[in-house]
Amino acid sequence: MADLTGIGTSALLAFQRSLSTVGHNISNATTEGFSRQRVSFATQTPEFTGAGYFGTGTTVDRVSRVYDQFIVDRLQSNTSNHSQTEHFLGLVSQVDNLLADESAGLSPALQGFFNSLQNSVDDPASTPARQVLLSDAEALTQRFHSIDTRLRELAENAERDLVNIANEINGLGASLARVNDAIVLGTQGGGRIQPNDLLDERDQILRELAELTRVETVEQDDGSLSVFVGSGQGLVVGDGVNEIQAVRNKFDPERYDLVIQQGQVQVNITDQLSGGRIGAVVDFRNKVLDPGLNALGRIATSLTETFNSQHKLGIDYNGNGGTDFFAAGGIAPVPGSNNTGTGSLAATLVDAGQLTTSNYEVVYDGSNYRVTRLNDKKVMFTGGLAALNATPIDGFQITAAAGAAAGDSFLIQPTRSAARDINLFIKDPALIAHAAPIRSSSATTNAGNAGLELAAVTDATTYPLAGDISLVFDPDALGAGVPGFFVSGGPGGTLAYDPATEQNGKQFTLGAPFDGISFNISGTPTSGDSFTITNNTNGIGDNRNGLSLAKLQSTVTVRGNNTFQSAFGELVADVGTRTRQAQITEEAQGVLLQQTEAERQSVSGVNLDEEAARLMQLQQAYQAAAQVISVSNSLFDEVLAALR
Amino acid sequence: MRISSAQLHATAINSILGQQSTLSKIQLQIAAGRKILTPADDPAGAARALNLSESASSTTQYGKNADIAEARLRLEESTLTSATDLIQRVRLLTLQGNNDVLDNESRPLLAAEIRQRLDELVSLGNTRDANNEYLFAGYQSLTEAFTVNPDGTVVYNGDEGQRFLQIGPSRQIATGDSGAEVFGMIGSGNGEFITRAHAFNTGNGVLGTNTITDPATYVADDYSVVLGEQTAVAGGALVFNDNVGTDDTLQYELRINGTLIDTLGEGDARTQAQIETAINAQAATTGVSAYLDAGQLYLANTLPTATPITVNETLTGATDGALDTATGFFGSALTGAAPTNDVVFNNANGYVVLDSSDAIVTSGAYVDGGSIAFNGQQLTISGTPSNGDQFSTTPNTQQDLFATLQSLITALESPSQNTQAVPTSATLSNFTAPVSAGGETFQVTIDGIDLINVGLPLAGDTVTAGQLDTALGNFLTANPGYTVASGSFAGNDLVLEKDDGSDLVIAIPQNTTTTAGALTGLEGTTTNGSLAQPDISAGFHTAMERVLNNLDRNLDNIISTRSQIGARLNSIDDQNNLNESSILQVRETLSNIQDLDYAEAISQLEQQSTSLQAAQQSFLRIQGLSLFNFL
Repeated sequence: MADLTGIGTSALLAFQRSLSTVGHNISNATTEGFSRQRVSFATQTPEFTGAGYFGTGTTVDRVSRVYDQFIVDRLQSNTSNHSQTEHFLGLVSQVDNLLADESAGLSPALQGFFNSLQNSVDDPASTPARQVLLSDAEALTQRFHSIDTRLRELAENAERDLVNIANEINGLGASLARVNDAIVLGTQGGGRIQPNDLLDERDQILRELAELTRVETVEQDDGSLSVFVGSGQGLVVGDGVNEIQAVRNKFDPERYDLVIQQGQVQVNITDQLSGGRIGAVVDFRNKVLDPGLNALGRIATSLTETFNSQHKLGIDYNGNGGTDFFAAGGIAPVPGSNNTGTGSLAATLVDAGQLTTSNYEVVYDGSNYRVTRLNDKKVMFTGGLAALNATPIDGFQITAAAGAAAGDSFLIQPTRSAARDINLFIKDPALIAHAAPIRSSSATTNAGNAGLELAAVTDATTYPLAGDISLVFDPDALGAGVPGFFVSGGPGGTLAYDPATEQNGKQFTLGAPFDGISFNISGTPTSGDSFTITNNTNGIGDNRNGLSLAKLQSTVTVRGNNTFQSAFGELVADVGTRTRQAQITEEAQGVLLQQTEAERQSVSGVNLDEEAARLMQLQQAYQAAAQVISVSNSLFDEVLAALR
Repeated sequence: MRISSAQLHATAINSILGQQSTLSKIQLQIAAGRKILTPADDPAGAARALNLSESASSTTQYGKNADIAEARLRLEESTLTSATDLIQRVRLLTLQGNNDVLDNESRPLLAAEIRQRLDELVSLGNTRDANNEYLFAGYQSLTEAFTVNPDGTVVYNGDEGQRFLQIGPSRQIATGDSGAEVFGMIGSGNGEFITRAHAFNTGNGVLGTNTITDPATYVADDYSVVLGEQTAVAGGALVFNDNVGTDDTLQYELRINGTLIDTLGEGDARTQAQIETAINAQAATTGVSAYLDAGQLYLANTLPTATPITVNETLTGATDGALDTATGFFGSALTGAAPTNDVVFNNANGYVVLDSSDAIVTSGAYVDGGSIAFNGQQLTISGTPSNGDQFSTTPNTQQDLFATLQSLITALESPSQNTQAVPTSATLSNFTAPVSAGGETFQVTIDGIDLINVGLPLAGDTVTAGQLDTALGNFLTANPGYTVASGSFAGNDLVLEKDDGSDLVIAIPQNTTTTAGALTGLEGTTTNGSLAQPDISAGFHTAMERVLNNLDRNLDNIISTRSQIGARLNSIDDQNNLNESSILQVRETLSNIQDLDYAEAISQLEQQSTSLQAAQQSFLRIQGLSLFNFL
C-alpha cells in the first residue's frame, strides 16, 4: 500500500506545482509580454509485475510557455511598421498643424504684401502708401523667417530624437545581450528545458527594439539570439553588443548620421534603418523637412529674384534706377568635412524659375565632376571643370575652382536658406521704383494721327539715357519712296515704317545697347512728325513698373507652373497628403497590430476565467489525491487493526 | 477563438478611445465651423482653399483699385464739365465781342472777364486729386501742370503719360489724360507757326522763335530755310592768258563732286545766273544745289548727308606750262603747270529762305542765334547746323485753349475800330458827289448827330455838295458850338471847328449803304486825317474767326475726352459687376470646400456619442463577468 501513498504523494506534489503555475499565470495576467505557462504531467515509470505494468503515479514533465513563434515574429514586424507610421504621423502632424493655421501660413502675408503693393501702385506718389508697402514687405519676410524657424526647430528636435533613439537601441541591445547570457545558462537538457520567463523578457525587449527600428533575428543553437539592424549589421551577437553611434554629418554639423562599427570600418546606416521610430524620423527628415524647407526657400528665392529684377527696371521717387527690393543670402555650397583637396566651389542663381526643391551633391572622381540631384538620384551632369562651369543646372550655375582631390564632395542646397535669409533691402519708401525709366512724347507740331506707345522696358542697363532719342518721320527716310523714321540719339539710323500698310501698328525694338526699349507705332504720320523718348524725369505719378510688379502675383514664377501662392499651396497639399497618408497607414497598421496582438493574446494571453476553472479543477484533483493518501492511510490502519 | 482577459480589456478600451477621438474631431469641426481642420483632412481642398482665398482677396483689391480709378475719373469728368461750361461762356463772349455794335471802350470790358476765365482755366488745368497730385500733369504728377509765363503764355510742364490701374485680373484702365491733349496743345505748334527741322539734318541747329513782326507785309506761306556755304562767284567772261609762243585752244572745265558742270573756251562768258542754272541742272547727280541771291552763291547738299562739296576747276589744252593761265569762277588760279584745283565747301555759313514755290525770298550769312527776317516774319536758328540742313516753317491757325483765350484777350484789348482822335477842326475837300446804285441811304454824322440822312432809292440818285452845304447850315442852327471856319462842301475846302476845343468826329456809318462801295464818296476826300471812319479793322474779324474756330476745335476735343471718360466709367462698372460675381462664386466654392455641413456634423455627433455610450456600458457589463465571483 506504500505504493498508493507514493502515488498520492506524487499527485499532490504535481498538483501543487500545477496550482502554483496557475497562480503564476494569474499574477502575471497583466504583465507585458508574458506567455501563459502550462505544466504538463507524465506518468511515473510503471512497476512490472507478472500481471503487467502498474502505474506508480504522476510526475511533472515540464513547465512550458504557450506561444507561437510565427505570431511573435509577425508581432515584431507589425510593431516596427506601426511604430514607424505612428511616430511619423506625430512628427508630420506638427508641420500639418503649423500650415493649417491660416493666419500663420505664408498666404495671408503674401496676399497682404501684394494688396499693399496695389494700393501703393494706385497712388504712386503717396508716401504713406509706400510706407505701408514696406511694412507689409517686412511682415512677409518675417513670415518666411517664422515658418522657416519653426521647421528648423522641428528639424533640431528630429536630430535630438535620432541621438536619443540610438542610445535607447544601445541600451536595449545591452539588456538583450544580458538576457541572452542568462538564457544560455538556463537552457538545460539540450534545449528541452527553457527559462520561460527569460524568453518572454527577451521577446519583450525585442519588441521594444522593434518599436525603435526594424530588426532581424537569428536564433543560435545555444539558445541565444543574434539581432541585426539596417541591411544586416549585427547589433547583438551572443552576449556582445555593437553600439550604434550618432556622428555629425559631413556636410552639415547640425545633422546626425547613425553609424555602426563593423570590423574596422564604421558603416553609415542612417538610410538603411527602416521601420520603427528611427525610420519615422529619417523619413520625416528626408521627405517632409528637407523638401519643406527647400520649397519655402524656393518661394523666397523666386520672390526675391523676380521682384528684384522687375524692380530694377523701374525708377524710384527720386528718379534713380531701382535697386534690389529684397535682400537674399545666395547659395553657399558646403564642402564635405572629409575633403582633402583645396578646390572650392561656388554656385549662383541664374533662373529662379528652374529651381527644384532638391539638394544636389557634387562628387569629384579625380577627373570628372558628377552632379546628382538628390531627391530622385538623377545624375544631372558628368564632365570636366570647364564644362561644369559652363553648364547651368536646374536654374543655378556652379563655378568650381581647380584643386579638388578625388573623392571630394560638395553639397549644394540652392534654396535651403533662402527663407531664412530673405530680408528687406529697401528701408526708404522713396526708393520703391514704381515708375518706368523712360517716357515718350509726340511733338506738339505733329500733324498726322500717328502715335508711339512704349512697351515695358526689359533691360535696365540702358538707363538713364544719355540723351533723348528722337524719331522723325520722312516719306523717303530709307531711300526714295521708302518711308520711315530717322532716329537721332540712341542707336541712330533709320526705322522702316510704311503708314500705308502698317498703320495698325508696328512693333520696334531699338538696336543694342538700347534693345531694352521697344515701342509700337501706329497711325499715319505726316512728314516731319516726330516722337521723343526721354528719361522719365519727375515721373512721380507714373506707376507702370508698379503695375508690372503687382502682376508678378499672378505670374508663373516657380517651376511646375506655379505662382508664389500656388507654390505654397503645393507645399501645403504635399504635407497634407503625407499626413493624410500617414493617418491612413497608421490606422491600417494599428488594426494589423491589434489583430496580431489579439492572436498572440489568443495563444499566449492569460484568461482569468480559464485559470479559475483550472484552479478549481486542480483543487479537486488535489483533494482527490489527498483522499488517495487518506485511503492509503486508512488501509494501512485497517491492516494494523487486524494485526492488533 | 480564445480570448485573454487582458485582450478583453484592451479591445474595449481601444474601441472607447477610437470613439472618443472621432467624437473630439467632430466637436472641433463644429466649434470651428469647418470641414478642413488641418490640410491632412483634405490636402487638395486645403491647397485649393488657399488659392481661392488669394483669388477672393485679389478680386477685392481690384474692387478697391476700381473705386480709386472711378474717383479719379469722376474728378476729371467734373473738371472737364467746368471747362466745357467755361468754353461755352467764352464762346458767347467772343460772339458778343465780334459784334460791330461794340466799340473800343466796351470790348476791353469783355476782355476783363475772359482774363478771369483764363485764370480759371489754368486752375482747372492744375486740378489736383485727393492726394494732391496734379490730374493733368501726366507722370509728373507733383509738377504743376500749367504755368503762366510773364508774357501771359501758358506752358505745359507735364508729359503724355497716363496712369493705368488694375481693375481686373487682365484689365487695366486709364485714370487720366495728358493735359497737353485735353487742352489742345497737340498739333498747335506755337499757335502761329509749325516749325520743324528737316528729318535728315545732321547738324545740331535748332529753330527758335518764329513771330510775325509786321502784319502789313506778312505773307503767309510755307517757307524753308536751307543752310549752305555762302561764296562769291565771278561772272562774266573767263580770263584766259594764252601764251602767244604757242597758240593753244584753252578750255575751262567746272566740276562739282566729280561731275562736269560746264565747259568754256577762250572768249566764252557766263553770268552768275548761268553758273547757278548749270549747277542745278546736275543737282540730281552731284547732290548739290546752288542758290544765287544778291550776288552771292550758296552751295548746299541736297542729299541727307553732310559730305563736303568739292568744286573742281580745270584748265585743259595748255602746252606752255605756267605761261598759260586762267582764273576760275570760284577763284582758282590755273596754269598749264598746275591745271586743276579743288575748292572744298563744307560749311553752313549762309542761309537761303525759299517759299513754297522754291523761289528765293531772302538769303544771308548764318549767325548762331541770329534772326532771319523776311516777308514780315522773323525766325531764329541757333547751334551749328551742317551744310544742307533745312528748317521749315508753316503758318498754323490751330491754337491750344490757353493761347486761344490769350489771343482773344489781345484782340479785344487792341483797338479794333479805326476811330482816331480828331482835331477840333476838320477840313473837308475833294468832295465828289456819290452816285447811288439804287435802294441806298446816304448818311453823314458829326459827333454822332446826323448831318444828312437821305434815301437814294433809284440808281443814279445822287447827293450834291450844295445839298450838304444846306444840311450843314441846318445842322449849325440846330447844334450850337460848331463854327465854319472857312470854305464850303461845294468849294471842296470846308474847315469846320468846334467852339469848346474838343474832338470833332465826322463819320459816314457803313450801315447806310446796302451795296458795298457805291456810296463811298466822302471817304477818299478827307485831308489831314480829320475824317474818322469808325469801321472795324479787317484783322479783328479774322482774329475773332480764328478764336471761334479754335474754341470749337478745343470744345470738340474736350467733349471727346469726356466721352472717353464715360466709356471708362462704364468699363469700371462692368468690371465691378464681374468682380463681384467672381467673388461671390469664389466664396461659394470656398465654402463648399471648407465649410462644415452642420446638419450632417451634428447627426454624426449624436451617432458617435451614442456608440461611445454603448461601448462604455458594454465594457462595464463585460467587466462584471468573472468566474472568480462565483468562487
